[in-house]
Amino acid sequence: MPRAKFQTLTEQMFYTLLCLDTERCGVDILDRVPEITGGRVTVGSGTLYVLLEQFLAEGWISETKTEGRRRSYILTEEGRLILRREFDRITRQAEDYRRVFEREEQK
Amino acid sequence: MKNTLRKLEIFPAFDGDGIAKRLEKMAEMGWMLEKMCPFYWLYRRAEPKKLVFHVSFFPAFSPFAPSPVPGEEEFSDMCDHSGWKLVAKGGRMSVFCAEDGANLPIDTDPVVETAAIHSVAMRTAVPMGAAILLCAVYMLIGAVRELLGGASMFGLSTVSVAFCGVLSALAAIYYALELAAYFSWYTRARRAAVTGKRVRYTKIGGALRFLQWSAFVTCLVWSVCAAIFAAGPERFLIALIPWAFVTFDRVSGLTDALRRAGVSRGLNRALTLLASAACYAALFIAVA
Repeated sequence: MPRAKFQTLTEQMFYTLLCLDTERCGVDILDRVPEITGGRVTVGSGTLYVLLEQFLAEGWISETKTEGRRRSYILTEEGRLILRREFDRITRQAEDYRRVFEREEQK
Repeated sequence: MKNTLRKLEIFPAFDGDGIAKRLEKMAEMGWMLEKMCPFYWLYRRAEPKKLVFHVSFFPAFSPFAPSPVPGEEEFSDMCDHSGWKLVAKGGRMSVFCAEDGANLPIDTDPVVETAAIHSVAMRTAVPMGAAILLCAVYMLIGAVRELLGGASMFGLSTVSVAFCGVLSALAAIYYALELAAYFSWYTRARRAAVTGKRVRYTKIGGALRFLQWSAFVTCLVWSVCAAIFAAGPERFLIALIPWAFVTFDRVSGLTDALRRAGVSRGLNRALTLLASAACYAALFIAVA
């Protein structure tokens, strides 16, 4: 599921998973992603549909209920682990960046 | 005044941008896509409008899977929510349109989009194209060998063998070109997607249209020649071409009806195969 070459999540994969910390349906996720990123990241309906199907197949999210045509989802333990791993990776990158540039500034 | 228009539209298998551009042009001329049939697209007269079209490919939308597939209705609601209306569906391809060009795109992640298209391609166009390419090359080699005085090819006359050779060569070039264009696009798209960029599909629409029309003219000339000098095997081949079109059209209709009736994917596929085999067997018996 993550980009095979780099074993990372794309921004849209990351934020879709992040939105599912609490139970949400597809339309809620479409609105929630720009809300938490200040409009910097948006997820299209086609992208979201494919991601939800793939996350379900991978066991990263689970379906909680179906109301009419709407299905709601939530992160599973495995999904939380993937998200946490991605967070750690991004944090390490930020720390490395800071270390390199702080050293340069000290020179 | 005619209110419907049937048009033969030839595009490379995954040229979503090319299809969208064509539909935008048709909408501006007052023709709105209504249905994608196996051999033509049906347009309905509408008020000329500047619309934005988008074509998406979804691996889950199998032409054999009962409709709606899981999540399809929710997906339709999500599209409505972003201002996109589903115009038509053909197999795993869906066409959407929106009035406002500033809408949020349907596919926003090139990594996900490229992977979805590749998944669809590896289940449909790639194996089918490769199988037809192999058959065409086999037929072409057979025709060349017969023309050079080698083994006999189904007892056909030299003229028919020459036409078979030309048709096989055209089919081989068509599918080789289509497969090469797909893999060239996929290699570039996968590389670009890593940096968040989309790439346009390889431009081969014009070449494909030329090859299809050439094949059509070849078939027509050969059918007329063979009808005049028809022997046993030629009679079968003359009947085979229109029969193949009719069979494909009717069998596609059956698949669609079974899908709408909620028949399982496996059973639908089996019944479709059976119906195709029965149609060709009927032709063989009738000609024999």
